[in-house]
Amino acid sequence: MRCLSADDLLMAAGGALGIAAPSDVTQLLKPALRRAAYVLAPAARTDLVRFVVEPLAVFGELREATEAALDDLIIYGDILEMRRLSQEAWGTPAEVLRPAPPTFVRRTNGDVIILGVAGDHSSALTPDLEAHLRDDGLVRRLDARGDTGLTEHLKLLGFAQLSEQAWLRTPQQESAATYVARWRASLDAAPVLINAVEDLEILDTARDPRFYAGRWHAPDSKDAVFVARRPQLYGARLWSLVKMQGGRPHRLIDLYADDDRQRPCDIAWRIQAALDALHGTPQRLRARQSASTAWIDIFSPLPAFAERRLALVGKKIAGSKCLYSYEVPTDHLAAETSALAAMMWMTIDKEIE
Amino acid sequence: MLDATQSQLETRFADLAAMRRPLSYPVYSLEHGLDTEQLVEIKKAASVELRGAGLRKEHWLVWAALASEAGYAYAGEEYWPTLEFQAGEWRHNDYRDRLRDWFRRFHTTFRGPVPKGRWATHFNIIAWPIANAILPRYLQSHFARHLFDLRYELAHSTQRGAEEVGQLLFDRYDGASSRFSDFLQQTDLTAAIILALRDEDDGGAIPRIAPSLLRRIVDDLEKTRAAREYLREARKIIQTGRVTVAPALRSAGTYSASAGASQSATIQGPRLAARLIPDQGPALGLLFPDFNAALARSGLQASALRTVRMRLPGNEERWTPASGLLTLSRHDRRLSVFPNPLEPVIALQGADAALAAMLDPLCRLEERPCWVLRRHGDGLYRQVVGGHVRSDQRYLIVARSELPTTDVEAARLDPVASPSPGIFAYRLSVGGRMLDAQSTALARLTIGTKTGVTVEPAGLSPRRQHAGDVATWLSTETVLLRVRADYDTSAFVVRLDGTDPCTVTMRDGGALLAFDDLPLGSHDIELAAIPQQSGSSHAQLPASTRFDFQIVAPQPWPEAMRRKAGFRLTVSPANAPLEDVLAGRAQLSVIGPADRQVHWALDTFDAAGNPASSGRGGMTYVGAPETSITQVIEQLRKAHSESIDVAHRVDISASIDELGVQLLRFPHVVEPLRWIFDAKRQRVRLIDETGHEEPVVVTGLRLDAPLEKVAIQARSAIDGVDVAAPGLLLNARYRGRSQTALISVPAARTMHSFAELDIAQRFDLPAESGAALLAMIRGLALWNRARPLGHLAIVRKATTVGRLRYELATFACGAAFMQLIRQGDPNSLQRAQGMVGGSPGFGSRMRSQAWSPLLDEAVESFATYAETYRIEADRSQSSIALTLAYDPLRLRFGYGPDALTKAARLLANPILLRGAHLARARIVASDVADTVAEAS
Repeated sequence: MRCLSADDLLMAAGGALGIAAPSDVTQLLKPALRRAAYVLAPAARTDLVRFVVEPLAVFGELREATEAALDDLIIYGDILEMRRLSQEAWGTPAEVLRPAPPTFVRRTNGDVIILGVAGDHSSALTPDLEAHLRDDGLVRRLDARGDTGLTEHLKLLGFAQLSEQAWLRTPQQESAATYVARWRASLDAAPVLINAVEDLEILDTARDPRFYAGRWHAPDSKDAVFVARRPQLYGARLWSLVKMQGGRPHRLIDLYADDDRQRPCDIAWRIQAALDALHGTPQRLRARQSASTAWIDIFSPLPAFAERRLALVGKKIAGSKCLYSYEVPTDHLAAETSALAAMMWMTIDKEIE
Repeated sequence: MLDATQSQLETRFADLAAMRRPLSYPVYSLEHGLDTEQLVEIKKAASVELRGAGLRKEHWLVWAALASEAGYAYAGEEYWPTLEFQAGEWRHNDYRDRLRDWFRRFHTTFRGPVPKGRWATHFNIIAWPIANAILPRYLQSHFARHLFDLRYELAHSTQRGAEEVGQLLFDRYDGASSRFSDFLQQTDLTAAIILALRDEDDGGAIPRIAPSLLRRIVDDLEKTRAAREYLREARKIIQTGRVTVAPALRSAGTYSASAGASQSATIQGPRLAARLIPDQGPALGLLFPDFNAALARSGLQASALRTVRMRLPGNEERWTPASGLLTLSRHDRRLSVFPNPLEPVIALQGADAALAAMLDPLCRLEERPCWVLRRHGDGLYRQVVGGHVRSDQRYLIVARSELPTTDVEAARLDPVASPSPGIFAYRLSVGGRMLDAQSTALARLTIGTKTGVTVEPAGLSPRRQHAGDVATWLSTETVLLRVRADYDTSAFVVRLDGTDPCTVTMRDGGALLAFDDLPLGSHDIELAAIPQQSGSSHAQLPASTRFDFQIVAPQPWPEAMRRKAGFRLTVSPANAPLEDVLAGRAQLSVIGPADRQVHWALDTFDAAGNPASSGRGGMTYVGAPETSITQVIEQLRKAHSESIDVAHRVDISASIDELGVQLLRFPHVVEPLRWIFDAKRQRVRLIDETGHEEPVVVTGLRLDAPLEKVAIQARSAIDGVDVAAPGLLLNARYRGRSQTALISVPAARTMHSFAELDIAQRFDLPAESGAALLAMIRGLALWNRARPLGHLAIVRKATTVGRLRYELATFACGAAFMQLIRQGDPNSLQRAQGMVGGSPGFGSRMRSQAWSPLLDEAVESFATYAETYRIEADRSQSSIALTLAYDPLRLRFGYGPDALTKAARLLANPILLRGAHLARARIVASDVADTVAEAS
């Protein structure tokens, strides 16, 4: 038996999770969530977060960071959201989380992205290959470009291959008007609200799309369709689409994860992008570039499909005077920005450094 | 030569046997010590002797060595040809029997192995040489993988002896290969291999297998990459070994977890449970007692319940067989009605006196002024039998009457919505230290408070098989605990598994403890806090607690993930419409735990989103070829063709037993203008729910002439139009939005031959080429977006769209060129390259470039090549040409003279168009090549 300091605890927990010398407790969150997804499956999101956060309480409040890490794991495909089965425990949420089986995505440039959970083990790779695995914060990449037999070898190890296209799951391209019209039709089919909705917050299309946080406020007298959030008992705030009339909600639909595993927030952010485009103030992204590196500055949160696409070529970094940025090779800049512009009806501001 | 070899082998095997006898290690005839060249010569000489004089007992060891060599090379199909030098020389049954006799002699003389198990019984001759071959090559990959999967458990079991190692290898195999499963029945042999692999690096030990032979087996194992990596990692773990605490070192009278101290002396009755349901409120449930254990303790069989019936609360009308109690044992179930006071929660009928006396207390909820339910890690609140609360926990308090407001406030209870009529519920979150006022108020509410030592996991939460089960860590994880007391303490006394206690000084109100390298099995930790005012002594240990846990080995991931992993249902290409999926142009695939059964279903929904039809059926396996899914979908499509045609939404779902369901949703949006088709009357009608701010314009196109317009008045369409075979495309346009439907009317309702699936179509075009191109592009857009209605509509739509695409390409590039493109083989594409025209380099680039399947990504390179080879300087023209080849539906020419000019300009550069189509064909050809390579 040994008595530990908090630093010793970090090392010991890191060792069990396959991280040799963690410098910070946040490095443990994703491996710990993968482990939790396997141990608890099928599990509710809150249970997974609690399973990870509670034993790390020594290091301070980590709930928010763990929630964000879990979002990443769901977005990038390490953890899957599955529909509940009828025989599962009463009160089990409609969506439960399960670990994805070990899977790889082979990129056109030869890189391999490793997804999924290998049960009790930190990865399903053999130690030789695991030495080449690096976690760039979003996904785990296997840097093995010269290894020509890697695809077959990974399959032999039990990995399933997921095509790049299937992993990206980008939505069909359509006009902002068509996209919004479909949601308006759903909203119009919802019953008229008799009671007020307490603590409703709306994302105001009229406010500057370059300051996301500043766009949220309580409903005012504007009559329009808004992306909104509303509280619910014993659960996270719900994402909704609301039609305001006379200063009060007239019709409302809650946004739920769709069958392409878009989360409610993904759907809401894309609707908002379409609303902004129709309003004549499309969301903006700023493209900056030097000789070899370029940066895409993001001002409004991107849905998961857009983040996945960017993660393929770049690295998410903290932004300056924006929400966050992606660092990408310069030769990918044009393709990535035009894809974002097409999928999210954005306009591009270019800067050359 | 054979005499000399026989003599050499006698000495060799006798030496090995003498050396190993004290340790009871066997000798294998494969340990002959002969090199490859010698073996070839000996085999040749033995063959000559065999064909001349037959088998001679003077050379029996030569044959034992040769036969085991053949066993080592055995590929799992046929043994005897492997032994033969000349074909057919071992067909003689007498020889085979004699060979078996010689292996028996090898066993008695040198302590050779005896084959055992099912396979040895069935193949009772060849089992001998193969058992002497130790690890035949064809089983080596299986062996390496199995070793890797069990490496952590083997690391422990190797310290407990050969018998346990062999049994573990056998017990833990999932049976994926029956041959390997049979091989594992040779538990002595497999244990010997494992132990030899472990001990190989130990100098001085008597080897279990001759080092040169072990090296040979390892070298062969390492010839395949996967096996090499498995073997190295497994050996690393197994050779590491672990120091365990010997039983003799433990103090006398220590607690033994296996004694089942955690087993409750009495079986408790039902307990309350609750969940907080998002956006609803608390829901109550029951935790059923362990009826199985209760029956067993009473000496009763499950059959005692055969004549008894039971009824659950809220199910007043329905009596069900009481055998259901066994299913409910230790499970929780939602309560629809809260039981009345003193009434049993489970009513029983037909039980005799003895059974009733035993079951009655297990069917009644203990009546209390209020029930205390603690929140567990799985989100379920479970009743605390003692009705007390502890620090740092969350509770739900349930009562039949409203609790006094003053006490509720002082106890810091938070009222929540009533979970059931006449029932009151409150939430309680207890902090690290409870204030006196709060505990006093709780006491007035008959809720006790407990202080003491808390032990909780630190760093990593342990596993638990079920909520309430003992905490479990893996042997690869350090057991990390945080201990604290909810009163002032100076130190803890900690005792692991009854060994001598240690004193641990407090730091910041608690201590973090690590227990490394614990052996597999059950453990316990006893902790006692030493109060600050006490003089630090082990003699008096106030407020102690005991923490039971266990250490298990990590499970091999493929086995573990089969029960846990989720799975993906994907469609390729992404966003493919339903029509493409049903027509087999888009492929569905399931990525999940290997070999699990996938059940398919197709559900349709009406305009209001209500289920209209549900089709179950069809099963595939994860990892099975995509064609098997296509067949299942085809069957579902055929069985539900009419429902699909009229559906507003179609869901295709895949489910894997307990893992859940994934579905792909294909919506059809309900518009104010829509077409409905009465297939029986062959009559189509336009439903008009528009605001009539503009007139509705209706146009038609013939199915047998997809570009030929038919004049239809909107008024007539609203009244209903009879549709003649083969059918019609109808388009209704209102305020810039269109509703398009393909009405398919086969000549005969019943299809008599596959030829009827085909349909004769003509594509008449305007004389002017620009107008012809525009007519085809606009026609293609209409046919593509048409909603298929009626029998065979999906197939006919797919056929028409496919033909139109081909006609369009042929119009742009010429029939001869497109014929070659359609053939798609490398030869044809090379010939097509020659027909592109312009600079030869351009055609060559089009055929050799690895084009992106995404148009947006391909445009840049295509326009650059067109510019470089002076085919087209205007990059927008290049973009249009490539779009025509990749996805003509994305082309927008607009209307009027400008559109005609643009179309004519595009057609004026056939080299550019042919280049674009060749580039597109290159992707299709690569995909086909990849598929073929994958399949082979």
